[in-house]
Amino acid sequence: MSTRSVAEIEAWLLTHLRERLGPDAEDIDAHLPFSYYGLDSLDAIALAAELEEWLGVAVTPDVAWDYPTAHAVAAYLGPAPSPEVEPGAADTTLAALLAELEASD
Amino acid sequence: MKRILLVNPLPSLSLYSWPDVADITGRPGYIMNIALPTLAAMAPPEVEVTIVDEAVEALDFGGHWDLVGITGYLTQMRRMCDIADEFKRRGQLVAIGGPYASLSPHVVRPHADILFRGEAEHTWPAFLADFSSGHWQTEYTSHETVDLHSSPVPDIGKLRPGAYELGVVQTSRGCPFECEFCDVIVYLGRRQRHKTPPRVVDELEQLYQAGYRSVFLSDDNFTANRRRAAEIMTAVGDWNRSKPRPVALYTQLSIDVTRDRDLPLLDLCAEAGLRQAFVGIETPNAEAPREVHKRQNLRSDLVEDVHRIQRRGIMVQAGMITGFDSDTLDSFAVQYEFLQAAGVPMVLLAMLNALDGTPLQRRLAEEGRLKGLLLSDAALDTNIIPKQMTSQQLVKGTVWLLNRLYQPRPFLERLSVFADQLPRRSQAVASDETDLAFWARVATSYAALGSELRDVPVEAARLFRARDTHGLRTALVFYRSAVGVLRRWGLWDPRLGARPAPDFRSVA
Repeated sequence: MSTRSVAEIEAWLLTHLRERLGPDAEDIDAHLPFSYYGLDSLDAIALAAELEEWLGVAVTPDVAWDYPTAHAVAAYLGPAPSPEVEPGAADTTLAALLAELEASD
Repeated sequence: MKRILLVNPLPSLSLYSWPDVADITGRPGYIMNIALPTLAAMAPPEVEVTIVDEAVEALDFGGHWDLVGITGYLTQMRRMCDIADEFKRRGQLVAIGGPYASLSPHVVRPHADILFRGEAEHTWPAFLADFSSGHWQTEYTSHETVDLHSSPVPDIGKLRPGAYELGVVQTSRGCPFECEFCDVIVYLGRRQRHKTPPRVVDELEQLYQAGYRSVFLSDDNFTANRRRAAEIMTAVGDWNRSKPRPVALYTQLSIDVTRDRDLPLLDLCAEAGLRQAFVGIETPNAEAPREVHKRQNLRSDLVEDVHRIQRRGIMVQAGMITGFDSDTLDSFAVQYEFLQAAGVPMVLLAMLNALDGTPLQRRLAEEGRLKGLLLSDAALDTNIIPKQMTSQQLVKGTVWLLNRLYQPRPFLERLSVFADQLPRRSQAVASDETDLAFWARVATSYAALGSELRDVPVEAARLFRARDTHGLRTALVFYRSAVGVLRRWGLWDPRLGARPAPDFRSVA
């Protein structure tokens, strides 16, 4: 797991994609698939190698297949976010759900 | 004693792989793969077979096996090759077979010591005989289709008990239609071969005894042969009605089963326990079925067709495709409006791809419209150069459609249309402990998705008052999975999903 934040990794990826695509490229959207930018398999493997060097952690050559957007790659390689489950949310949902199902009967 | 390890590799993440639902179903895997239990059933007593399905358990590369056999579809291709390479690196003998190896042998060959092509009922026993003599070939090809009477009952005892939500009974192989993009007919042929009704019932009973209460009748097109389908469903219905708790059945149908003259067959399916049907609707674009020779989809009112299925208590799960030659930039929004009107909660969307061996691939090669290998799942990439839009427009339109379909409000709207089609229940159905446990798991799983999605099950349940909730349950399990896929792909974008149509202004 990298010590870089998800935002840092995403920014690095967007910068490198922009460099690959040239100065005339439109703004890169981290939520659009790499296929949208015409990235082929060789590009993806090269990008993974450069990312591994920058991050200092292992990045599999096929990372872009499993995580097909810059945001997905960054979320995968960055620190896991702490869960934001509201305390008691599941109980509240279950109570409302059972009330609906009972009303249904 | 020879020891053989058979492996079902983990598929790539996709809407078809049902990730993130184990906390709702309480089972690690969603659907059973019966290819490997079928091979296991063919092994003689002096061969010990172990099955590992990566969807439900970790694969241990240690230990010694006399043979490691690997199966898989296109979605398992990368993992299949990785597993083969690792076992070979460790000095193990590796065989690869199954649909992908049969259709794309040139990809698999470098990774396998032994390659199996075609259906295995003849080649696997021939190999096992060679194997025991110590002299085997490097390739086994089945040159003829298999009579399913010669296929043994799958040895599901080799699978991890209780690991799957859905058991599987294969009812036939092959499909008489000739859809240009379909690789099933390349692999299994156009002559549909059926198991007998008693044999189907025997396999259902085996699953019932093993605890399964939901079963997928695996068939490339269950109703293609109306007479056979009626015979099977008559026997299955008699069997199912004899059970204290009937099994919920799922299968694949083509949309033309909703013709007036076929409605008695649809009624028979519903009475036998069919609760869900995957239908390759593909597109509401009326020109596309002609283009790809999917003549069974040449229908005048697809929305009414879907409702005819739903009115019988059968939920429709739609396979949809973007990127037909006749598709334009308007097609994405048209497809969305169709799915909303039809009330199809579960939509499996992919771009048209030209798969190995298909007539579509040959045609597009002649037209010079193929591009390199797939980079990612078919939902997000294609090897086809589109005809009436750019590749970028096709990707952007498809990403918009995925987001639009799976935002909570549109999903609930589709559920509402579906619920309205269902017959009203005449009497109350008491919840038992199994039901309560299921709904508790649904509540916990959705609460973990955050406030944006937490109340989806509650709002959905409200739509099903006095209606059967079987479809609702499956739809909620699937929706949890679909949200997980879009988020893990990094595509989940509520602002994009709120747009009434894709924005192509910045796209070349």
